[in-house]
Amino acid sequence: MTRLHRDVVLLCAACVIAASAASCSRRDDALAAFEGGFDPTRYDAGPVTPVDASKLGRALIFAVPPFYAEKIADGAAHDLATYLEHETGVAVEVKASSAYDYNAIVDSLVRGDVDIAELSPLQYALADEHGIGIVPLAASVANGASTYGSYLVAGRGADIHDVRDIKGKRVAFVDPLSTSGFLLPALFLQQHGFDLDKDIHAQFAGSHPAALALVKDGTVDVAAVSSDLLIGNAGLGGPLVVVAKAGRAPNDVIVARKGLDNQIQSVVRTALFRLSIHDVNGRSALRAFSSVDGFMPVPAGHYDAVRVLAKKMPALASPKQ
Amino acid sequence: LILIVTLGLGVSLAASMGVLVRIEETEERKDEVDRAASLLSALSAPMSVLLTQGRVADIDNLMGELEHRRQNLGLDAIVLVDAHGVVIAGTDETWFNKDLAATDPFVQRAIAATRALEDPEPPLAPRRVSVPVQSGVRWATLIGSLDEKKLQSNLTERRRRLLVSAFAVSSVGLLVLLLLLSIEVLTPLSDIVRMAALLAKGDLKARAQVRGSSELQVLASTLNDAARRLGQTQETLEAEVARRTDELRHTNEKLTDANERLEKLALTDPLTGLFNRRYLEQALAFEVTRQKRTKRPFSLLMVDVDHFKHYNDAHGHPKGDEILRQLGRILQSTLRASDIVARIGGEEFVVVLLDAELPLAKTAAEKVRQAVEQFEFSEASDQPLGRMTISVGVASWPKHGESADDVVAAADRALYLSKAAGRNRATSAPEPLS
Repeated sequence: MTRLHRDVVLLCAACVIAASAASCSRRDDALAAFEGGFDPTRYDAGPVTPVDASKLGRALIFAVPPFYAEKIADGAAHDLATYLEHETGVAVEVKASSAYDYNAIVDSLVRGDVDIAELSPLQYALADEHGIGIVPLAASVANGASTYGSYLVAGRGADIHDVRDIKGKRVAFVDPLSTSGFLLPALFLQQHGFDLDKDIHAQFAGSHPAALALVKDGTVDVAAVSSDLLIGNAGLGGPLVVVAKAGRAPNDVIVARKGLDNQIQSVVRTALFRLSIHDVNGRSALRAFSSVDGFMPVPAGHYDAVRVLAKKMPALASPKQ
Repeated sequence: LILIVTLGLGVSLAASMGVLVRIEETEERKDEVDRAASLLSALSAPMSVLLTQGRVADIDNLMGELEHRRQNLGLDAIVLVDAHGVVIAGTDETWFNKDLAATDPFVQRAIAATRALEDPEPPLAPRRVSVPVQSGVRWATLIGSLDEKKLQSNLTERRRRLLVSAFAVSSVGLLVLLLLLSIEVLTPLSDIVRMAALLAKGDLKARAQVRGSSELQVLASTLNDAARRLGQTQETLEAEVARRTDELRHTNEKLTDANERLEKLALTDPLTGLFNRRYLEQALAFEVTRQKRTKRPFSLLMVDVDHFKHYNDAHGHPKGDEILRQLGRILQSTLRASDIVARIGGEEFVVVLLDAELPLAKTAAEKVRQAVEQFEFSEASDQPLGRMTISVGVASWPKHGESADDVVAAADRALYLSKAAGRNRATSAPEPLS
């Protein structure tokens, strides 16, 4: 072999290596990672494989919070059950009783009386902290978003424009366990140097609409409420003004109890992803949930902020009323 | 050559890569800015609707979703500021109610501008863009900060892909170039070099393959032609040399023959083939010297054909010549091989008897005379003596003289005595007077 031939062979080898390197170089398409958007119907959940309903031995029990009891009575529960039965091939019973509350639903999940349930993010975070093994199936999308905010609102004429202006004022919260109605605004005020016992006159209104009503009728100067309450409302230019935004929390989550058959979990998850207010069946089934537009896969870290909040809860002891 | 080509390509590639990377950076940044401006413009329509209706919660929901997806948007943060530059909403809610215009000149310019702005202005690399939110009425302004980390990561990725592809493409290009170079230039050239080396060693049958670029083909053809002609010339030359050598040898041979013949002609008598007078004189001079040195004697017979004129007249010269030839043969056959027999003119012969003193010479002379007398010459019966005879004069050295001439003269005188005494006899020269 002459020097020339050896050189050519070596160069050939170098080129082959270079070409291999080039072919291995693939661009990670940023768009491929773009999951989600503003329309839950974009999720392609894939085909539903019929499951063996006999594995369960009874109807699948789906519990929704008591907040929706009236709508269930209206037949929303029936519509949701019918939709799920049709999609999954499993008999479904949607339960919503005024006797149930979040804690009661968590207990039922632990006991196995309930298979699927809607939980608030805080409830889910607390339950998950206790290691009861509940599985998040789908995150709800409401009012076009997967999160909602906590507002501190005041009457337009109250001359309260800034968080500093709240000092010494009467503040209505919703409930000591309410994420947007107490935990987020309380933490926000603390972070702005407020002593909840001394710097404000706090009270719990019991519900978001009640808290809002208190600020409207002038009983309190400021109310801490969920932003959902102001959706479509004239927050700007109306009788109320948003003084501060105390942070955002994820919407409710649909969970499955520990040990529920994986295939059943899968078909229920798929059926939920297919729900959308963009079609008639979806709209009728979604009446069982408050303001929910649809469901989406649970994003990684979606509940991390709430988990942090849950850990800080002991520091947010209820203020003196 | 390969090294030079490779280095040259490498340098030009590096230079063009530098320019390309710079262009790519500018393009990527421009793309990002355009994308951000497009996104903000797209957002401005729903924002203006929501602002019209005072739906701050809906705006926050939208911002909340944008915040969740900002990694995919190419924007690090988005804020919506009102006509005074105060934040209405943003991907970071903590900015709510902040008066950005008070501290940020760009926000001041953005709220005043009726078109999209970039900060800083081109040609500097922009980091922020602003888009007015208006539907008839100017409602607010959207400001987005580019996701510099994502931009840099995109740039790095672009550079990597550019480098890898450039390396791959240039490697393949280089390979093709080298292959072409090898096929078109290097291999034919090395072939020509090899052929030239063989030629230099004298192998005129060496030939280069005619291939590669046209110039090299011409070179190879020319060299091959030159080698062929050189070969032919050499063959012709060798053949010519061989022919000339042959001719020379032939000429030499002829010359030698001619010389021999010439020599022979010069020293012999053409009629009888016996030595002539010149040879005799040379031989006598030589012999006298030699005999003097060795102190050995020699004798001389002077022979003359009796009445030869008579025979010639009667029978003609050809017959006379025949008699002379015959007489030569008799003299040669009768005498010793070492004796020198010469015809010195007409019918006169001289015989030099080496190492012979007078008595032996007299005997030899008699022997010769008798041999002639007894030989039956053609048509010699009408000679005056009834047959062909000879008269002989004998003389010896050093008895009859110190020099050859003396001895010859003595022999000649003795011959005269034989003639005078009636011919057909051999007479010794008289003793010289002391």
